[in-house]
Amino acid sequence: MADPKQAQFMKAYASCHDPFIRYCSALAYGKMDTEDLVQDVLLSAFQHFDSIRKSGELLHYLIRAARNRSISKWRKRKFQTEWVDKHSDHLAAKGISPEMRLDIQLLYRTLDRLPGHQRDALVLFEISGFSMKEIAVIQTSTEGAIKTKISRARKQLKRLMAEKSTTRDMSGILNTLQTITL
Amino acid sequence: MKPVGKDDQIFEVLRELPTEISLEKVGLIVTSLPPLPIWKSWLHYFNLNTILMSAITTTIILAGLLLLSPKEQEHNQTFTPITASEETISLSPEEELIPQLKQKTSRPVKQLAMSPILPLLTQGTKEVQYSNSSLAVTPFTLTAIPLSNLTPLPPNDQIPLAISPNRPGLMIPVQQECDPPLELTKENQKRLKQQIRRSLLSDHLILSKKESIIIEVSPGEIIVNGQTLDDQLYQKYSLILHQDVPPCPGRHLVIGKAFIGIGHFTSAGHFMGISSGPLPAGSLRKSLPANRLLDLSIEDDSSTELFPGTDLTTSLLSDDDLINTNSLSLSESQDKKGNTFGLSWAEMQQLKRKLLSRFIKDNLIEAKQKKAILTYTKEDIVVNGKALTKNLAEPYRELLTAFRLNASPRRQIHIAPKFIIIGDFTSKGGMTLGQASGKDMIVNQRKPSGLYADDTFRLIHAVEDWH
Repeated sequence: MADPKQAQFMKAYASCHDPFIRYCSALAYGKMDTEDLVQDVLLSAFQHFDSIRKSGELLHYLIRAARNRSISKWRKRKFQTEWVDKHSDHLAAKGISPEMRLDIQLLYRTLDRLPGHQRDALVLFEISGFSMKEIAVIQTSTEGAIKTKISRARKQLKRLMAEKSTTRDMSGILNTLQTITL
Repeated sequence: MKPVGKDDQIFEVLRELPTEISLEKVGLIVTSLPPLPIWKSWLHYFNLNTILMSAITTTIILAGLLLLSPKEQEHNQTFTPITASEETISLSPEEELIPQLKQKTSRPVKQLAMSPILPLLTQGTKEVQYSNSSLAVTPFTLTAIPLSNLTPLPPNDQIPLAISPNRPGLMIPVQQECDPPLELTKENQKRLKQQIRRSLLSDHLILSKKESIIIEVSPGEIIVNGQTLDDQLYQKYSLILHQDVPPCPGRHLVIGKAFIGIGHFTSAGHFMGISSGPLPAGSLRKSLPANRLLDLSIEDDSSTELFPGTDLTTSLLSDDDLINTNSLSLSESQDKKGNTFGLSWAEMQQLKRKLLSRFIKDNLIEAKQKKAILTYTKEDIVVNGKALTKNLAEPYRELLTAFRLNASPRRQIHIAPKFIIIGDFTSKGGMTLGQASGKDMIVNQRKPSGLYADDTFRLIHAVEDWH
């Protein structure tokens, strides 16, 4: 990279890549293109990189920016079939079985029904792999509060997943079958 | 061991799954990001909040400056029209004293500069007349004046100077009459009165033709019934007034129903000047500024002149021939209610009772129902034309002194069953100063026959008929 600023940014970003992309994938699933969200957040982070002094702050900035953008730009959007299909294709390309893809889709749909902070905490903990302490810093909360949120989110998720599996409507099954066959 | 649920399995799969976007792809994205221009990097410091706060702060500061320094603005205006030409003069040390004098005006000096007072201020060689009730003058400095605009200077030894009453070490010019003196024929006075009244009516400065008017025509300022005219009205009325009545500090026009007087109030509160028409009655009180009430007298033939420079009250008392003289004086002994001698209604009634009792006791009148006129001078006390002996007069002097009444060459006390009048009367029966209490003083206003006064108890006529 010719630009020293870009080189510095990439150096700081390298350690944030995995958790950030996983979080963005979880936010974007079924609603938007993950790459669009990542690009948007990266642009913002790059422009404000001078004000982000510590390298540890970059990850927190990326997570918060991704969350805020996903809320502001796609606040009213529900799951859209084309994005669900695209993300399912991506999972298929990674060798995920159709049954697991169906479960992943069900999981994301159920996550979408959880309260915002609980869902975020659970995604950051379970998918992005952050520790409770890191999540507390990102959400400007205490470790205990995050622990409680995650615990409640898990219980709620289990209950909703159980309901969902029994009352899954026919349209959902047809959609899933159609996705698999295609 | 905690059993692993289905959702845990899914989460584990998602955690182990390779990321949707690789680090290399992110590197490409970052490489394609446009570098931020320098001016844009500064732009993020400015948002709506900072813009609004800056605008509000600037507005407050500017408004504060404008509010707190209005005089300075007027001050600046005074320098603008005065520009130095090739011939200029400078002020001498004595002239620097001039701005320290008090002068009655609040109009910007811009207009003062156009008035005849300018040479007085700039040259410092001519006497300046100041109003008796003076206000602090706005300090100013004149640097240069076109010589062509100045009138020839009188020699320095012709300038009478006096020690300032407020600052003993300061010499100030002696007060002098306005220049030029008023010279208006009766026709011109009448024309001026009509013209002023019409204009004031059209400008709604008075509400009716009957309303009395007092106009102060000072340099750069015209005050109508206590209201200072704004610039537009000042221009209009200066055109009407200044031709006949040149502006002069303290100069007043007093206009009644059929009366016009032009002059000024002396330090004793007397009015000096020229007049025409019968003097207005107590209605003038309505037009006067607060705490300035008029007492006045009138003679049958009132269409005569007041002589400039003469204290009419003094002449009125010393001169027996008072026909053809009007007097309009400001009484400084009035109380807040306008009572000339400061006696309340109760005190007037008390005095009346005591005097009547003593008159009967001294066999000066036969019964209380009779009328009496007591003349109260320093030399004599005369009751109904009978001069009292010294011993007999002494109790009356003590009684009148107890009621704060002093002897005066023309002072009389008129007592009738229903009223008492105390005042200074002329030889023709007119009253210059007075106070009355009671009723039935108005006998016949249209055809004077007997003692009567108007409803203000200030205008008394035809005392002779009463005898």
